[in-house]
Amino acid sequence: MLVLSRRPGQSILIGKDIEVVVLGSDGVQARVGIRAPREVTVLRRELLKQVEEENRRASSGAIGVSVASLGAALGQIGGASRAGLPCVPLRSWRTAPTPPPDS
Amino acid sequence: MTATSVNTTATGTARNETAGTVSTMTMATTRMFEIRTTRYGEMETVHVSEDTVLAFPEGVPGFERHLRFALIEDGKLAPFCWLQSLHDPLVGFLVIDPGLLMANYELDVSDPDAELLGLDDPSSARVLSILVVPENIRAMTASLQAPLIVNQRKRIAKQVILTDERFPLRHPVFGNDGTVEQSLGRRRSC
Repeated sequence: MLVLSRRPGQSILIGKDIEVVVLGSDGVQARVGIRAPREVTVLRRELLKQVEEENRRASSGAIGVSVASLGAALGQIGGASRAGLPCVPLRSWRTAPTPPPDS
Repeated sequence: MTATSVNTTATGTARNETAGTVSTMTMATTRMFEIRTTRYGEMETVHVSEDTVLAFPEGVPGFERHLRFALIEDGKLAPFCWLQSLHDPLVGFLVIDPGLLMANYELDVSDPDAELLGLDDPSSARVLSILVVPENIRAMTASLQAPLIVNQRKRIAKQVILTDERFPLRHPVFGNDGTVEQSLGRRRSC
């Protein structure tokens, strides 16, 4: 791993068009800003891990679901006989601006 | 449990895709798949038409090698659907339209995701949330932060991760007092 020391305000370029700016640090957390093309996905690593774990739990948990228990849940939802599902509106096709890294 | 014919109207050349085994039998017009699933807790074989099959070019986080799933819409399950991996009968998800769980659930699709999904028209998209079903079914949660976006026309799908903090990774399907979320079950048309 390449390790660099940077001061607040200084940045690192990755390739031609990804810039990581060190905004500051309080000794516990470092704040970084990222400028990247829209097609580059920027994610906190632990969030992806959480989603992976959640998916594993979802798959293993679902195996034990019985028709009866689902039926009971369905009864509460009251939508068992609904025909067709509603659609979630997609707000746009375009990428929202790269979200700022949270502090 | 006996085999359930999910789509009885479509018939055709069927492929028996049992986690790798492929055999064919001839029927009439559309292709039917025979897949194995453990939904409902027991191994069973279901017949699904080919147009239920979704390609996940990137797999699903945690299941990156699972590139094809069947989206099974069984009336008995509505408003839930079952998303069954074609690679492993043991891998499947209970999914639901998140619009049933939270009003004003909406999202943006990034350019690269739209490209991957071949999306050029909002009306061809459908959004689903994976449910985590614990032993106590009333503690069921929905991954609102990581919805599946499906291009219904091209049958391509991807699980995306949202940074919108309004949408938690573990959204309770049922209210704390055991009642159903207010928005749940509200009818909305496409």
